[in-house]
Amino acid sequence: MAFAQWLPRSNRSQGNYTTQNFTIPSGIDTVRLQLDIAPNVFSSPTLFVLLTIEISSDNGQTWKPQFTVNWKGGTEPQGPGGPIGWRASVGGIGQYAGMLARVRFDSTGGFRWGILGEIVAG
Amino acid sequence: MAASVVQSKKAFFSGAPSGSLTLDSNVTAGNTIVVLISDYGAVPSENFSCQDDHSNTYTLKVSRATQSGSIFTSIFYAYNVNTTGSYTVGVLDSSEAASISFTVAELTGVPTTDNSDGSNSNAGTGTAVDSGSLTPTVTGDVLIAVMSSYAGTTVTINPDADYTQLQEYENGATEVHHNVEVRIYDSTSPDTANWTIGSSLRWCGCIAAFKKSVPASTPSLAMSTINRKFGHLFAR
Repeated sequence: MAFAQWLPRSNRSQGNYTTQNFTIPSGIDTVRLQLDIAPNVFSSPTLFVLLTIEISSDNGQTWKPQFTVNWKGGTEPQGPGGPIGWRASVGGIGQYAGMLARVRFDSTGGFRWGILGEIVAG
Repeated sequence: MAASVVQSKKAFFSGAPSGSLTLDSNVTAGNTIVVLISDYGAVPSENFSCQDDHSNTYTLKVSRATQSGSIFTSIFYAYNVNTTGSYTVGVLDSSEAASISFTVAELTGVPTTDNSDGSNSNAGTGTAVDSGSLTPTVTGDVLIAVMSSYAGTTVTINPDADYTQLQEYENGATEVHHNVEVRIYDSTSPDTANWTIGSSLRWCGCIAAFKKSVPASTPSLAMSTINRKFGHLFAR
């Protein structure tokens, strides 16, 4: 089972933002995320994004971080077939089936961005 | 007490200098934490380091690159870890904003002294992947191994039949191929961790061994026995 959703792109200034909560279905074990930003801001030295995947075991009262990655402006990472963008994933969330998850961003520098979330088996 | 892996967790990041994950359960103080890294990069060599939120020191045990670079594998460890509460481990690549898949594993039943017991690595091209051979100095070691490859496509990664798979990433479109397997090895004969991958790719693999804890000897009892048997020789 897979879930994918683009959150709205927006031109956000410095600050933080948390996605809407989503429930982790049974039978999945990995959350994948891809940050979508305009190509011309990749190299911006002012761009810094701290992304955290959080899970709540008490219906949103408290949140526990599962994975954190700090993206900063620079050359877009290359894969065998070319640019691969900014991606992150964390595995081992199958045990949290039925619980709430969300993604928190802390950023500096204003830039247009969107986020694609996908939860997949395996 | 037999050594074993009590928990593990995987994560991936691309385009970032560092990423971290929080283990699902609290780590027991005194245990060993092993970090196994698979990396795809655009530079001929990489400079990784690991850290956690409890100021433990991580030592590079073994690393390997494919012959032409760009794909890398490393194993770090910290023994006798100091910890209370949750436990977050981070991987830093100071060479570039690379693409890194990594697994963090907690070993229990290990001594609080440096318990590493050898390592090896290998690299090649094809569908048969191995870590190179390792010969433990004692029985009961935890053998933990990691392989890396990358093609931008999904490949099937089959672990060694003698090992138990801990974590893997097979989808090269979204992560760097990564497979971690472990074996509790009651032998001192040479052993190699193997994998079979579904496509012929460049690959590299590493293996590291960690000793189990040995029950402390009882010197006071031994001395009392000596005194009982030979004390009369020292009495005068």
